[in-house]
Amino acid sequence: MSAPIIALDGLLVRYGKFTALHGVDAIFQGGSLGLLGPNGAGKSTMLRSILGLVRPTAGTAQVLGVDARKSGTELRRRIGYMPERDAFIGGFSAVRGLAHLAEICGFPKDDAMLRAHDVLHFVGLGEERYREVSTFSTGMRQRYKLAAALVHDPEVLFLDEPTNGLDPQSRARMLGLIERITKDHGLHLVLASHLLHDVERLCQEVWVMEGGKMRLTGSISDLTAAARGARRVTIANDQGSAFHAAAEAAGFACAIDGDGRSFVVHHEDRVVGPDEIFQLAQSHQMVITSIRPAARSLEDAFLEVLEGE
Amino acid sequence: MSAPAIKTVGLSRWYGEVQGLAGLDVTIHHGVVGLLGPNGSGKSTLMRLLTGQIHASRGYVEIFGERMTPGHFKSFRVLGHAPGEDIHFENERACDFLLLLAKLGGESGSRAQDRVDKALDRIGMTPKASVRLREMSKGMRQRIKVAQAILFEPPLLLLDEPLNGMDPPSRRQTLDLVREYSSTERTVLLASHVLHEVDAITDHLIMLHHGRLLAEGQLSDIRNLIEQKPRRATIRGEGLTQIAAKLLNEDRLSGLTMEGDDCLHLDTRDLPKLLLELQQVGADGQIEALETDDQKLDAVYDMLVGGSAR
Amino acid sequence: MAFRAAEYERYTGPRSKRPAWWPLLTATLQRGWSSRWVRRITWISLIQGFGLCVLAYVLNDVVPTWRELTERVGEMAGAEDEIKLDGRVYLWLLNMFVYPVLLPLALLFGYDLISKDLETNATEAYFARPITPASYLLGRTLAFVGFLLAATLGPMLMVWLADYATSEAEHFQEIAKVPLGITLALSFIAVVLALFVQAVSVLTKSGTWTNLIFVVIFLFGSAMASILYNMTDNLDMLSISLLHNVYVVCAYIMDELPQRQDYADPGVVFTVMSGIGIVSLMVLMRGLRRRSMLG
Repeated sequence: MSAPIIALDGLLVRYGKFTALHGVDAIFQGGSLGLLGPNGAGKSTMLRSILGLVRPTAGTAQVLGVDARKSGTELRRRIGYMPERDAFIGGFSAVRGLAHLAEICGFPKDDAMLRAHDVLHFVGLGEERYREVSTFSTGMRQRYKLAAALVHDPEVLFLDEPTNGLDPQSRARMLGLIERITKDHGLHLVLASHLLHDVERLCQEVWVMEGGKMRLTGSISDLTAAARGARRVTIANDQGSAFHAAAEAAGFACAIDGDGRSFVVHHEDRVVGPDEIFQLAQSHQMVITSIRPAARSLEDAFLEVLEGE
Repeated sequence: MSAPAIKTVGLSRWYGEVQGLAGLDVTIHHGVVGLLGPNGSGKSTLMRLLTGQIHASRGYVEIFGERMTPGHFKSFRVLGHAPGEDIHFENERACDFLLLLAKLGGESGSRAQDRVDKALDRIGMTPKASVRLREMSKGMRQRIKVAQAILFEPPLLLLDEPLNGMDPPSRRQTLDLVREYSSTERTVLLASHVLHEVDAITDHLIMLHHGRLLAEGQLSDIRNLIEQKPRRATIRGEGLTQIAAKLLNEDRLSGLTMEGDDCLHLDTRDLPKLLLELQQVGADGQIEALETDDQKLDAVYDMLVGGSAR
Repeated sequence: MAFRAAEYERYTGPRSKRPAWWPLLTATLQRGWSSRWVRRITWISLIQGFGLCVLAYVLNDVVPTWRELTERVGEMAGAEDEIKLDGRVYLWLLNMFVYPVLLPLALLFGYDLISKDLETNATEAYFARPITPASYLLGRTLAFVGFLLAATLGPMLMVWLADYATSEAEHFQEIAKVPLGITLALSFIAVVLALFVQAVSVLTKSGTWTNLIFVVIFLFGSAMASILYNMTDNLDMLSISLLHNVYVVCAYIMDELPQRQDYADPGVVFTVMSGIGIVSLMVLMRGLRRRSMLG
């Protein structure tokens, strides 16, 4: 069995008097991992430990089978990091700067330039690659950062808020790119993001951190499993309150969801069948416009974990 | 009937040759309105015109019936604005920064302090009141921006990408605040790129594209207006091939696609009639899940703005 | 337009484990050279050096005994020191090739490279890669030193070569120690200066402030040095002036320090310069290590 991508064993990191990580244990075998937590939870410190940039006060961080602190430099050849803030080399065009970063990782000069062009083509940056990154729009900068994380052909990708500031189309494009890299090429992914929608789409498991401790680790499908056979229902027109009354009268518990036209219907003792809902609607001359199992969203699960403290 | 919160008439603004906004006519009463559009569509130009930071090149905007122009300061108490740009008072503590703004708004002494305390409480940052802005994370700064916007409980709130950088608990808290705010006959105009969050708190939208108004109104109404595309209903369940066969004969259907064994897409120009048909199918227990395409804001956004490679 | 979507491909080419400071050095040299003013200053310096070479050759052709003639003219004109065209000429050449070049080049580098890197958050891009803070510093400092030496040492060595080629055995003895001496001296100064400018920029985190502080220290230091000397009658006060120190270091290493006592003790000067260098190095390593922790 191959080594896990990340193995943290009692990882304790202190900066002076402040403890950033309180002896964290966790294992990421591989695939796509979402790293969640409020600001100040210790995610950046964890990232630094994994990149081998900070010495643990106690415990170890093993990445790709080697100790991160001891073999940090070697590890960073195999890890691609996309920072939250912009980070680029001024005075160089985007492509020259990218080639330079590849050279730092050991690529011969010509191979570095070829590779830089290939990666920029993949992320969709065309003629603008000959300009400096400082002239780029937000969307282009995010794509450039992704290219920079990929240019040295890493095995593991660390992405920090990759869709930050992107409009809906650019977000969709970015997520599509990331999906292609992880699913088609098997790169492992660690995604730190506050947008749990993105995490749900791209990842299979999550680590939830808070106050320097690991609160929860688990697969997304387990966390968002359908809540005891309930159904989320939307009613046409203004029949919302009528439906609510009818459902309650029929013995269901009916909770309003969001804006008042959607409801979460469940029954104490059993799973609610969709046919029951349709029959209920029919008998009251109402039209159901949507019905689906009421899965718990990742956001709900996450907030529950945090509130549980 | 009282004046609408926002009314724009032929509102246009250009910067040299570049057009920021072109002939915008919208009227907004109370509630939460989502302002959507790609980068460069004119959202920030509109925000700046609404807050009187810039002159209109043509047309005008009225806030509660009063013309809004640069130099028109009456509206400080009427309009709260959480801008997209960074706060630059790095050395100030949060409480001092808010106190300064409260005083600038014309409040003094203990009443100003009361307003600050209340605002901090509503955004849940009372314990962090003495933290300096430069030590705050992006999410915390965003919340301070919202706090300064609600200091005077204005009847109109303009929020420009307020959730950017916030962690999930803060996002939820801010959205709850918005919901609660608008429930008392006040108006919130929320510009955001995160469609599913806008989806969760409002159905009333304004979509801009290339400086023009692309669509305005309730999500389902907007969807109805997109005539080129037939309406789509998607059902999941077992034994759908039989249902598909039955429905094939319906002349109301313009298209029918099976995706795998358990998913059926039905396209039609008459969605209400189709839904009626499907109620019986559902009552017979053959539908596990049903969805129509006007539930999802991102689908509609895509249709209007289009072109994103999914 | 491509008919298939752009694909991502894995890289199957060679990868070397060569130290990371090397590509950093070449890239910094490139970026520095792309600055118009760096190029101008360097070319002007080299051309002046070349000009002096030509002059030496021409004089040698036309008036082979020009050196003795100059010395006699000096005697007759009653100059204080005897005018001897030996190694001391090179000390005088510092006025031409070193003093006017050091400050502008250091300022250009401070602005173009260091402040740009701070603005663009380049350290976050670098330290996520297999490069250590020490490597980063080494590559950048070597490039910086390279530019400083090209514009100062370059022309001086050129002149020396011309001098050597047009001299006889006896004159050669007088100038034999110069190349090694001037190379060591200028290298030492260049390293200290490069570290110092980088350290100031790491502390102030701004290109403008770095330049301001550097100009103040350079020019103001010179003025303050003579004022303090006059007030306290202590020669060692002169070591506050960087220009003064440059002179003493060069003179001392070339063994041409004049007998008269209006310079600070070389020991003090070397200590001050080394001190600046070492403190700058420490500041830099600490600052870079902190930045390598990625914000």
